[in-house]
Amino acid sequence: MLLGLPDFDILFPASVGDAIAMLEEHGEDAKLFAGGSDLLIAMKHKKKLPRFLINIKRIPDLHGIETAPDGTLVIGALATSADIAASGVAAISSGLAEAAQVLGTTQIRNIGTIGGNLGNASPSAEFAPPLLCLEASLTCVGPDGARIIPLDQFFLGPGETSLGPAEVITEIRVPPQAEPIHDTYIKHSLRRMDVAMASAAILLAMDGGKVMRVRIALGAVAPVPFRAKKAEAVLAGQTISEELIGLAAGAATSETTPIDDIRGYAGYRRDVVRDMVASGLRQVLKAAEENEKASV
Amino acid sequence: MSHQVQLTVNDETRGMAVEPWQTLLDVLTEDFRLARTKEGCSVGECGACSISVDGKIVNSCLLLAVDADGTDIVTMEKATAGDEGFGQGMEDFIHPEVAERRANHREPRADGAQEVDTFCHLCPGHCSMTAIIEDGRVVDLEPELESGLYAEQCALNKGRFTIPEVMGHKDRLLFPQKRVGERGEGKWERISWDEALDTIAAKFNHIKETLGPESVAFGLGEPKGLEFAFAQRLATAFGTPSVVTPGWSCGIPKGMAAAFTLGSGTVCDDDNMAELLVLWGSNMNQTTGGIRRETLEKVMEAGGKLMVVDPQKSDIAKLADLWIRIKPGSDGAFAAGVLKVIIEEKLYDEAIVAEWTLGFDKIVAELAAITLEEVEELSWVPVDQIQEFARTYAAAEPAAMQSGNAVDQLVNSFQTGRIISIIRGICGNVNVPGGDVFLTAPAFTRPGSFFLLSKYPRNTEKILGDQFKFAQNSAFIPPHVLTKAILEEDPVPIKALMVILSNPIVSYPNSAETYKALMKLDFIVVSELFMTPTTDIADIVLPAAWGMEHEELGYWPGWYQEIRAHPKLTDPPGECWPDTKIINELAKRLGLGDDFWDDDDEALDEMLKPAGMSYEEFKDKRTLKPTKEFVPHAYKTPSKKIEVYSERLEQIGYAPLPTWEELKKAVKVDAEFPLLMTNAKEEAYMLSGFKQVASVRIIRPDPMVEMHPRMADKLGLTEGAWVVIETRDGSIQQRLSLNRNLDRRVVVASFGWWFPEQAENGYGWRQSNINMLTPSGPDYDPSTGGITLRGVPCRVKKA
Repeated sequence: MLLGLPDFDILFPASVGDAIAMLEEHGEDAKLFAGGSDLLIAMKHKKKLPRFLINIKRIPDLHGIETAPDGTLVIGALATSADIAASGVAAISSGLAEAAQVLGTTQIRNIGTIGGNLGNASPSAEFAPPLLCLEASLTCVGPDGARIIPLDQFFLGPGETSLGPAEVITEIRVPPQAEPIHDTYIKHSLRRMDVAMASAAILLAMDGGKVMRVRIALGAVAPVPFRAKKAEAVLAGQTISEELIGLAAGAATSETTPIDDIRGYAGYRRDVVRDMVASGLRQVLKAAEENEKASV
Repeated sequence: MSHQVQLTVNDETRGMAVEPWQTLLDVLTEDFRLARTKEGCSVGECGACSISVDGKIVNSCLLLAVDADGTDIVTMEKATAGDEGFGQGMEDFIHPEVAERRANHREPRADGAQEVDTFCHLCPGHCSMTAIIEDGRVVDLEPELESGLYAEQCALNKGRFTIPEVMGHKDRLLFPQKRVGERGEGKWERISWDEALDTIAAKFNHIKETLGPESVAFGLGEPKGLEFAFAQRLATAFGTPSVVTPGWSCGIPKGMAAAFTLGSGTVCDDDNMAELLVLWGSNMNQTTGGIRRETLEKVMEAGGKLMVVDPQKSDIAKLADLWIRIKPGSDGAFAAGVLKVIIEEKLYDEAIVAEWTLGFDKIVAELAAITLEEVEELSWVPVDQIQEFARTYAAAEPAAMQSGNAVDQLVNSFQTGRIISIIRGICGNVNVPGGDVFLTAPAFTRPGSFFLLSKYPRNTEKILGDQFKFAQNSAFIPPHVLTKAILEEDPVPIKALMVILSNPIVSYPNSAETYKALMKLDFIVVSELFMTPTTDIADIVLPAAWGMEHEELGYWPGWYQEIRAHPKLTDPPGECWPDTKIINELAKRLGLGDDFWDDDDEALDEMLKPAGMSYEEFKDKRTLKPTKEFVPHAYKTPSKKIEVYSERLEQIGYAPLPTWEELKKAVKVDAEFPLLMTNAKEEAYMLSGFKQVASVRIIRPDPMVEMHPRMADKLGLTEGAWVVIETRDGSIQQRLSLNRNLDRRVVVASFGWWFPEQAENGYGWRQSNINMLTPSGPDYDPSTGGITLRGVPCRVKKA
């Protein structure tokens, strides 16, 4: 029994304004449709059965990846993982580039969009941890106009966001980083192409030997992707030692609330988080130290 | 509402109207008739549907046809056109990351990983694979493309996904356990292998001494390696004929039908070109026990034809020149109609009929008395389609015809198989290149001989009386005989059961009755990879080592007449033992050591003795294959002809000629149960197994039941909701999915569902398990004890 799609009609908005009007008109009966790599699967599994798909792929100006004059990295919501991986974002954030390269398969990366990945709000959303470390925000446009939602206020629960019913994510904005940053994204999964069983993004900005800024974000180990602030507090302003790395990793683990599911047990996920945060810190610290040496 | 699109596929542009819900893959299969690009998982995991759109590789199953408007689409049919069938080109197209990884690691693998060639052990297709082993773990199974053995994996890649995950799975059983507390309470105590085997041997011998060996039964599943043969050998040496195997509803009916008609079984000749392929209740893209997918591609690309008989519009039905949407369970009537047309329009080979058949005039008379209108009413196949099927089949030179499991799961499967064999024979498709051929087996120990059936003839009449003679001759009893012997102690009381490769609570018909029977037993021992509904009520559970975790020989399916080496690639986890070792050691403790070995591995050499080589030598060869001589008219029947009328059948006590009475048998729906339920192999899983394997559970997370949208409307049912399916025998719930391509009177439910995540609830065996709904008879096929499992009257309502 192969999985067919349910019945639906498809609408083609020519602009964001059109899309908003369609969302207002159809309400619960309509869903925004970008790459479809989450939505079409949910529809084939008959878990989501929208009467209307609002196909936003033909709306212009939502696909770009640019750095604004003030240094903000602006990524259009319809940029695909492949677009992001092929762009120069690695120069700004290794973590973001790594997430773009490791999501799904080659085929999925060619259609899955960053707006869709975040809007789907899976606890394991690939782009969330690195963007949380970068303190990114989303530009969302709705009937009342445009607003900025900081990413750490965006996720409310598995599959739930603070988007209004007729709002559309148009951009992801990564603020300019005042100092040189070093970051990484680590994903632990059964197979490379699988969603993460646990994931971590680590970001450091160093001043001499001291931590000027540290951000640790975890995915797939809580109802939403989140910043492990207790772990960050262990390291802020400190000189990083192995002991401190261990304490930070332990603190990060204590902030998780993983579940048992088909991929792994909660206890195992906690162990993985501990290992990932520790090795991620070591890796990013090393990158920071090498950068310091190079610039001396 | 349909949309006009321009689709440019492999440089050909077509304008067409498409519905929003049509994927590009739907259109490529049905309108462009592509055979290399396939639907595997439908959800973007497997890559079988990969295409290039404007230079980017994407899954065509996740691309709407409307979104492909105006794009430049290149498929494997063009991108790998130079390759003859499945090869590196297709594999790299489907799995670009693997191609990249391979390109980055030159021989020997820079990352220290090993590559060892083997065969998949998940399904009877046994595709040739190269196992990638890192740090002692099998991490991937790539198609093995050097040897020329069949390597194109099932479209969904279920073996590639399932096997590595199972080998390292968090829930693998690791040590022997015995039940403490009440049966089904879920309380277990770890025990040693010694204690486990001593307990089992003592129990079995006690029952043998007080009641007789027939009171100890075995429940066996489909052979993977030698474990089935070891278990049969043990049963024979122990003296019990009470062995349930899948033979009662798989392979035996059609095998016997071919044997009595043509002299022996046939297989479709993949080595040579056919003009026509017929897939009758079978779909080689997802399951293989017959024609290969490579053959389908080859024949389609050479301009050959395809006919598919299936209540569902499977992917190959979409490709077919003729799709026969048959009423489930009516294959006997349809086959009779086809033969009638071939006879009355004189489409058969006249020389063959004149010189090489016995009793042809009798079937002519039998079928002259029926009308095609009757056949249409019974089978839902319009008269003109019956005629087209017959004419197309008879005209092909040659045709290869594969009948699948569905045709073996009916109360008249044997006689239906006889008609199909007759059709093959009189149309000149038997034992010709490209047709359905006899095989000459290579030299290796025959399984029957391994079972010791001549040394210790089984007292089959003790458990079967004079019933089901093919079961008696093929070393099995049907499951309903087992449950009756347990519940009614008739004809003998069965008190103990050993289960290997099987999950009877989920896969025997009438699960409620099976459960009751098992709960009544004194003793149940199960060897398994994971806890299941059957282990849940066992007394002792043994942790089994699996394929690739020990040295193994595979000889199944028997009709392929081949033997394969499945080498050990990694150590089994925990204290897992291969079933062959479990049985070998148990045999010793039962006092039957003389018929077994010091070490179960010795049996590997014994299997290969007739070939004059040791197992170690055989591992280099990897396989011994049969030969095909294509000797014309080499029928090994008593008359040396195609026996339309079989005296031998008459002597055994069965109808010597297929009768219309038998062939037209149909289960009747009524006002109470007005719909007809059928099922098919679920692509993501191997039968009832592997629901705890994440990589396939994400593809098919829930049990789904399919129904036509108009019928769902009429019944007030909502797509996606859990609905209740009921028959005379029981009630379950599955989630509703609407399917425009089904007959409105048909419901297609999912087979084999239980829930590993519901340990507290018997693993949810009552909830969605189709065998809660199936009968355990009577009516029975008199020759095999078969029951009609496809086309069961049911009703569907809101939960």
